[in-house]
Amino acid sequence: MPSHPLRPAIRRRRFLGLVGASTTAAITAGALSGCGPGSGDGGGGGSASDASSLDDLIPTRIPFEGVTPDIKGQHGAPDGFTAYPENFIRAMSEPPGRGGRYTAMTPLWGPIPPGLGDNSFFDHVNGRLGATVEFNFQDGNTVIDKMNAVIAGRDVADITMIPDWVINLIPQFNRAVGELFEDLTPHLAGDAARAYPLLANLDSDAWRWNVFNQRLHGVPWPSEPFGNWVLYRRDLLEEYGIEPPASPDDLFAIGEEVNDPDNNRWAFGDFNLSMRQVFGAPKQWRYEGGELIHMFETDEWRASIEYMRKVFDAGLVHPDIVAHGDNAKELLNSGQIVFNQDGIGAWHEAYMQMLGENPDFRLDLMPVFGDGGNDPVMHRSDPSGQSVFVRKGMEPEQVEEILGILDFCAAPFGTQEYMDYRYGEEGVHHERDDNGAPQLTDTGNAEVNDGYYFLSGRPQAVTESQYPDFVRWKCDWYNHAARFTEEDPFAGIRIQRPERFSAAETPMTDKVEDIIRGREGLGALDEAIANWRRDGGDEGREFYMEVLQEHGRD
Amino acid sequence: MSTLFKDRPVWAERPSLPAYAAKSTTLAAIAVVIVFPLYVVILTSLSPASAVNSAGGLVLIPQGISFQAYADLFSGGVVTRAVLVSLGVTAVGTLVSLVATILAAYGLSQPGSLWHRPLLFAVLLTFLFAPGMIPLYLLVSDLGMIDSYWSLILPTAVNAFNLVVMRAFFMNLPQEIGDSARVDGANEWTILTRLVLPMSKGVTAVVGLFYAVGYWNAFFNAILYINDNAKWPLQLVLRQYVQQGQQLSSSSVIGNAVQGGTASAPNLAIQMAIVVVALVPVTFIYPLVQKHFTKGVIIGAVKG
Amino acid sequence: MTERTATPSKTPPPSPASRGRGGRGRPPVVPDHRGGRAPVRSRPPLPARLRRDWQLLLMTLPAIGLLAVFHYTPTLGNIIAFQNYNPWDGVLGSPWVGLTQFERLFTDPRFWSAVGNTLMIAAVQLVFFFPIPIALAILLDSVLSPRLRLVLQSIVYMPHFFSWVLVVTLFQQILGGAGLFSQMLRQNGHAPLEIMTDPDAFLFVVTSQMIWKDAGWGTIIFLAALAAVNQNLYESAAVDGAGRWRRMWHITLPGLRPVIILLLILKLGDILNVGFEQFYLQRDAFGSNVSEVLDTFIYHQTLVTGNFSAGAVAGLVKGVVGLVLILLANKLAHKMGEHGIYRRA
Repeated sequence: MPSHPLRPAIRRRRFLGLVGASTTAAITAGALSGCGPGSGDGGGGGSASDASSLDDLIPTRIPFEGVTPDIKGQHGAPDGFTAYPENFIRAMSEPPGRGGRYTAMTPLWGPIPPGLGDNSFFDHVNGRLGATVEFNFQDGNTVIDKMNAVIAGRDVADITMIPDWVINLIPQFNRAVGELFEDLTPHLAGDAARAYPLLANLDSDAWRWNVFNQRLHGVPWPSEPFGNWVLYRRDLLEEYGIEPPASPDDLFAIGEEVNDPDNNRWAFGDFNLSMRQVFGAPKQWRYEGGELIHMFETDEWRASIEYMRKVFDAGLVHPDIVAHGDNAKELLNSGQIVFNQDGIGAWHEAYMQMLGENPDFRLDLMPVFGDGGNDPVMHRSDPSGQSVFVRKGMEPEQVEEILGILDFCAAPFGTQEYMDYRYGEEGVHHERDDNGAPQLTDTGNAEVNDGYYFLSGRPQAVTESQYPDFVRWKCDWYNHAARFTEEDPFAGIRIQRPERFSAAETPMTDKVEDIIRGREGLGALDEAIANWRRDGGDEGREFYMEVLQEHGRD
Repeated sequence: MSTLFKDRPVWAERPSLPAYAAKSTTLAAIAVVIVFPLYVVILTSLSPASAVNSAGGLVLIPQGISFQAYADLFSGGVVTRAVLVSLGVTAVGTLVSLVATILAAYGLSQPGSLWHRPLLFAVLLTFLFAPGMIPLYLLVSDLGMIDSYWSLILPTAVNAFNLVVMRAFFMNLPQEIGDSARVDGANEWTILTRLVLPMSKGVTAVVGLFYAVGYWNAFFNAILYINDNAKWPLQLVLRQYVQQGQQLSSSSVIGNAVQGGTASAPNLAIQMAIVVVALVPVTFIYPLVQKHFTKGVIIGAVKG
Repeated sequence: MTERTATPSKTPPPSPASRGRGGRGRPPVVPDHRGGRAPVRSRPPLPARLRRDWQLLLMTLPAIGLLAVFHYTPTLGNIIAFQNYNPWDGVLGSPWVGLTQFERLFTDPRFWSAVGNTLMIAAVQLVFFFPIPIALAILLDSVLSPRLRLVLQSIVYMPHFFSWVLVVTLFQQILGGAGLFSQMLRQNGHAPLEIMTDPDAFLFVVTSQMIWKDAGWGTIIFLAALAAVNQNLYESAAVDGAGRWRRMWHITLPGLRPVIILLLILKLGDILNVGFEQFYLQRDAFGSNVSEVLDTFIYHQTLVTGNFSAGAVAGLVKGVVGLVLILLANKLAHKMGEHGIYRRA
């Protein structure tokens, strides 16, 4: 499941379903020959080579000494902060800007704020920056159309943010990037990044992900390791006196127990993608005995489909979800379903909506478990969720000023800069509540937006301490789940997938939906897999094999 | 199907009772089938968070009233501004479209006139073959119309369907009227404005409505051609509200978007408020259009 | 078409104005096509026609100009159907591949299955959807009270402004397995409705949705046409003793006929465009076997693979099919004595 905002106009989940089977975040694109990280250094060295070959191109990591996390993230899980600090650290002694004025184009998923001149939040942050950023927001669901057009027309803004899934869908992006966007290598590689300490604080894998054609072009957004998982109504299960599930059979039994259509309660939404991980299917390819085995070809994946079929057959899934309605969140909030897979971010979103009227409302992530005593295989998101590019052809000083702005926007939780670009000015745009957490004022609600937040990434952290137990529960889940992170043979390699390989997936996913929903028997799977292999699957296998060899990972 | 009978006061017999009953029932049923969902939409837009959350979807039974969704929509002034943009684009666009369409429809409606067939064919082809998104973008960009309101009007200003329909109505007018005027020395412009148009108020209103609704509902051109958010039309601004929270749910990546908000209206109530807001102008327009469906015009325009 | 007048032989209304007299008003240099089946017999030389018709040509200029610039120019871009196009290289830089893209599409069984579904839906639309706005318009027009008529007309056209997402959601919440009706059925011990996920009910459901959403909107044009019917015809017909049925058959329907036929022909030209969103949204609910139409098929092709050329190919195919159907239908209309879109020369 791509972990980024996806396009389809209205109902994203449908699309997620479709591309979803294509596996995770890596709608990764294929072997842009000579584009993927590592391909330029002569290829084949040892398996360490691809990683190390990029190290000259990316910033030397210098950890920023900020607020100490209360819960340390393990195995790549984010840190947790169970409270807002009393006082915020100043990460920058002076504004990074020199009075320049730049346009920034970024998608926005949410209401358009009042523009520059009518918006005191922009004025406040621009004041802190010492420069003026003028945002042109784009419709978040159609970024791909807009970016295809803009790139065809070579009309990019001074600063351009492109979500990673969009980058992977733009044809020939690897060629466009060098002509449209500034090469940041001279400004950021190695020790040069010392000039931008907050950027140097970002995770190296995320930086590597932004190397195109052996040049560093983008500023990354380090992503949380996992995008989606099953959320469940912890309060309701406690009411029932039921322990959370510890195996797929447990989950099914709980489903049968709580399912009660006569009283408008069903057990489940859809959680096909999570079940794959429970049953131990790979995100895309498994490298075993010198061969690549695709998810579709594994017994684990087949077991997950059989399981989902069983769940649908038993009538445990809410009819709206069977009909692929888009109201799963509302259903979970209202208790009409008890388990539902969603983006992990949906958790605090639901709290924001529900806790006011129902203080006992509790969600939690379903514990991570495997089937039959096996470990689950958790699919990790790609290391960077978006990239920020600088228009090519600007003066070096302008590039430096822009990087200074991005540096400011990379300030982590616990800094004053973070509070500024996320919540505006205290007393004007937000107030701090009893726990020290910011609450937007009316002005803040109307004016504060994610513009600056999207100009750069920052180390991921769990910070929503205003919600009871939230940080602890989420961090506990993460630290547990992260232990089962898949060893992806292609980790860290940006791959543009062959066209036929991508195209072969749609009929496959369609078939899977048919089987899960009972329109076709499980027997249809074999034929579907054979067709998939014929129509692009095997071609993809060869292609990926070459990538492995090229990177010396075979 | 006696319900299909026409009753005209001048000559109408009273319908039989069963016929009358059947007609009334049919109309009432149609009204209910449409009004009930409308009611659901309006009710949901006016429902407090608790009602939406307990319904788990659209609200069918009232549980309190809240104007929060509308307050949220209109806070900050962005929506208000977008309403003005949309009204402006719709008004100017409809005018441009109507003028171009009426002129061309009339110009192509005179039998035997020079080149009318190839020209009409050329118009028809545009109904069949649509340009791609990227070539259109490149054109608009090359013409320097990015961020210009004209980019929302000119590319869609002439619609072949509307043009052909209007032409058909013009052709159904009695030919003699124009003929005799020409004999009297009237030029084509005079015939169009003095004779043809006054007899074509109905179709002009209808085609105007089609164009107006098209402009009012359009958003994709703005996505492509308008970078400056202050120039976004209403439908595009409203779309953004529907996306609110979408990045939260599907993404851990962009998963921390502004979180400190006060309890705002639930997403679904906002979505329905959006439907209502976009619907309001529409309810005013139809009576204006229908007014022009005047009966009993002079002409025996039963055909052509 | 002279005699396409609404004057059926049996009803008495006076024949509308006689027609087909002298050309376009000028001394009858040009025989009037309008008047007749008779083909043009003689044409004056071009300069004379130009002198006569320059005003008309001038009038078409704004529309033709707009279409030329904003439609024809970018439509030329559809030659990417013969390329392996990518936006970065553009039309000039992308490699030419001849008919490869066509071949790929035409050899894909899923393309043909999508075409089959599309044609099936189009046929259902033609038979079950198309006549409804006409009947509804006649029904609405027969309401005597102007106020009630206005209210009813205003109500029935509202659903047109609902997005497909909303229409589908409303259908689901009322007719779905957890919807209003199903819950009532459950509470009374009956089985819930399953039509919203039953592939066999697909055509029924999508057609109902279309009717609900757009039948009212579709009446508008017919209401305008009805208004243009000369009321005197009804009066004289009534005086002559024609009953309701007869008046409808001989006056109302003939009055609507040109519009009906025109819309029918245009609809045929549009036959492969049955809509996108409605099917896209309900794809998983009913399964792609029944719900995959040409547009959703192409959407998935181009979205997943970035193959814009496939979209262009499909566009060309749809256009050519539409063109052929329009020309055939137009010919047929002429045979039946109608104008169709444009009359024969």
